[in-house]
Amino acid sequence: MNTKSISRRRFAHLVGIGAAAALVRPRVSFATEPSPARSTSSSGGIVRLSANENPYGPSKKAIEMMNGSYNLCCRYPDEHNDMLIDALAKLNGVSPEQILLGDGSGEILKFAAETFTGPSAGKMVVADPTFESIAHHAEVNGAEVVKVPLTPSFAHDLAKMGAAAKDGLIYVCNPNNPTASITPKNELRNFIANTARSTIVFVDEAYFHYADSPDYESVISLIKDHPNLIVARTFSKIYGMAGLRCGYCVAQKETIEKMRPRVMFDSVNCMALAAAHASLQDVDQVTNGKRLTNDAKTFTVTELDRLGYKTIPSQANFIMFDCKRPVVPLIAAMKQRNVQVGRLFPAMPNHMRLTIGKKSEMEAFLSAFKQTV
Amino acid sequence: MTSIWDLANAQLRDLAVYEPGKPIEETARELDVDPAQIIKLASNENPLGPSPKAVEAMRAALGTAQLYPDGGAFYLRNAIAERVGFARENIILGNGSNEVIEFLCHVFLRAGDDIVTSQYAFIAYKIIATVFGARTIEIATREFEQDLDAMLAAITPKTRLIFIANPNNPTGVISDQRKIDMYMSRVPENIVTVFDEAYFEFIDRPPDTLRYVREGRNVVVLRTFSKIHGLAGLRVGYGIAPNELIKVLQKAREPFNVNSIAQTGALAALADVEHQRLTKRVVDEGRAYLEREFTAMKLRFVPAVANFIMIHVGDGARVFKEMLARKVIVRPLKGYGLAEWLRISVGTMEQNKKCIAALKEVLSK
Ligand SMILES: Cc1ncc(COP(=O)(O)O)c(C=O)c1O
Ligand SMILES: Cc1ncc(COP(=O)(O)O)c(C=O)c1O
Repeated sequence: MNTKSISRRRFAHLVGIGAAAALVRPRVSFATEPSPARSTSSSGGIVRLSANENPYGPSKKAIEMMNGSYNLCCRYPDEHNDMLIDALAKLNGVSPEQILLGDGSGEILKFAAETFTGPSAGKMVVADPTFESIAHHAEVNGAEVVKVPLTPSFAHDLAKMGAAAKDGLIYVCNPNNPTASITPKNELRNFIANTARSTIVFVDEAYFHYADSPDYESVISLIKDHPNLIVARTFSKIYGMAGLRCGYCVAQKETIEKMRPRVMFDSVNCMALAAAHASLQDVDQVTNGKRLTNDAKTFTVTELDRLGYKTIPSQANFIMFDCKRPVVPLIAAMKQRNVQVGRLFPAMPNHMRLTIGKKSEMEAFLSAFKQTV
Repeated sequence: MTSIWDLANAQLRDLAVYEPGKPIEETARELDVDPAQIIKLASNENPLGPSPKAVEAMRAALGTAQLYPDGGAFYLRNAIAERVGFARENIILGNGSNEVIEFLCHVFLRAGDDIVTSQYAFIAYKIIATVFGARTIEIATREFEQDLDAMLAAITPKTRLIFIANPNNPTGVISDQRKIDMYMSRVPENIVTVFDEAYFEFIDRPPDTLRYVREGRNVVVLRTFSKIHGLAGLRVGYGIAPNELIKVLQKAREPFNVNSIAQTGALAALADVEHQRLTKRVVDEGRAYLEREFTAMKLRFVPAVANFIMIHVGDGARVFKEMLARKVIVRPLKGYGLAEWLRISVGTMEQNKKCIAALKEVLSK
């Protein structure tokens, strides 16, 4: 399945004339069924603020690289897989054996749930509310799932989560989806230090790039001391590549080896590999993306505040605010006005999750929201 | 102290790793030559590349790459369904057809179960079954022919899945309609049969397995965009099965398993009948040429029907290495227990000729 031969390679070389010339010319369902044709863009009159996507799209460098890669589409992407792994290893200061790629970080969550939870491997402990996918996978695997409510400040209640765990895996989503809140760095650091090594601590840093609080930090640097720590990242958010499907995790080599057998051979496609590799070289994309998102976020939060709606302090590219009434009918009413907002999170039925789009999209949202309420 | 390592599935520990074909770039670097000089005939890929129409469609799709894909793959499943004469509800998409094999194992196998397949069968079945703690019963072939009778006879109370690659990779043999009908008339209802037809579009008169899907039997037919459509890098394959069976398989699928560029590219590729026809013609001519040359060289080979041929060279590892030194990548088969054989994918005529020239040099040494 996943190739183990890891070696140094340069991507640009392969995309150029070289390769072109060489061609000579379960139990719970995640999959929704059936899906009618859906809106795929905010441009067709639909404002899509429901899936925490990046409205600015992939990096120009990524687009360029993909445009140069069509000739590689007929080849299995093993080599590019290794090259992206090398680049990610360098970026994170770890060795290539410490990186696993997935068909989106969603697939990484699946690998982790399947490997480390189940009737014999142990429980899955998650916050409530949080990103639900890993808990679904644990259930599919026959694992017990324990949900621990967030604290009043919307941080993970690490003490209670630790107490509830037995072997298995504790999922810490930081920043947390759907609340956009963070769990303070000192608390998380201590928690990781004090968790028994028989329990995996899985920290999902999908929204890492958007967090700028002094109280936030990535825990990738702690991996060297903690064989039971796994950190996941994705190219779906700040890199604007949700459609392409590429995510990864970092952990100690032995931990990665436990998950590796579940990795389908060539699970990340050649376009995603090309785009991810190019994106890593585009530092402006991250800076600009953060700035534009923060501006649009400040605008939206201020307007909502003016209207009397309180937003949970957001460290991500989405917000959650108290809409002071059941959100479900609101979601439907907004849809009527061509604005798609986040789904219901049952633990917070009077809150709406809203992706931060472009400023124009946020204006469209606000005007529809005002009319609706 | 118990560690998490002791708790993880024991059978994962010693699992074989799939060895892909040696990549072009790596070979070029090792030989210190331009990658353009390397001929890769190692992964049964399409030597003509993707359909130009698919490329056009992909280019347009880059504009929405920041949005999650359509999880239900409405358009692509509809188009496939129409092509094969079924409804959308009879189609499941995988991140490569390999992933549909994963769904099958995920959904049907528990630790201690069995799968039955043929000796020398495509190795993914065994690798994936092992991940789920299942045993693979491999039935000896007769001159590489899959022995479907013996496979039926080998069924145990624990058998859940039977995998028949038709034609099989790497041997290239195909079971004909009569054998398949005989098999289907005898296979117990509680067993799911998988006909892996990754190379279906290359076959002149392929046996019809879809009739059994139509009859509602427990049959899954696998096809892929990696071969005739030249989209191996995009990762999209599919299963065709009765609706209830598809519903079960959907439970193992992640909503966004097939990326949006692949969905768009595959849709356009499916419609580009001209590119499929051209690819088949190049492969037909190349295969005939290679077989003529092998015959003239007095090399044993397994008569082929798809875009690859298995030949007997004696010391497979040596010939592989010496072909590599001549800038031709072929596939050694030691991992399949076929150390005396090589598998050669059919390339363009120019590539085929260079491959034969290199092979002649290597074998005359
Ligand atoms: C916290 C979190 N983790 C993981 C994912 C999955 O992202 P992907 O599979 O696109 O990498 C998401 C998607 O919204 C998310 O919010
Ligand atoms: C018989 C067979 N089945 C399945 C596959 C996997 O193809 P895909 O690229 O669709 O995962 C292959 C690839 O070589 C194959 O030979």
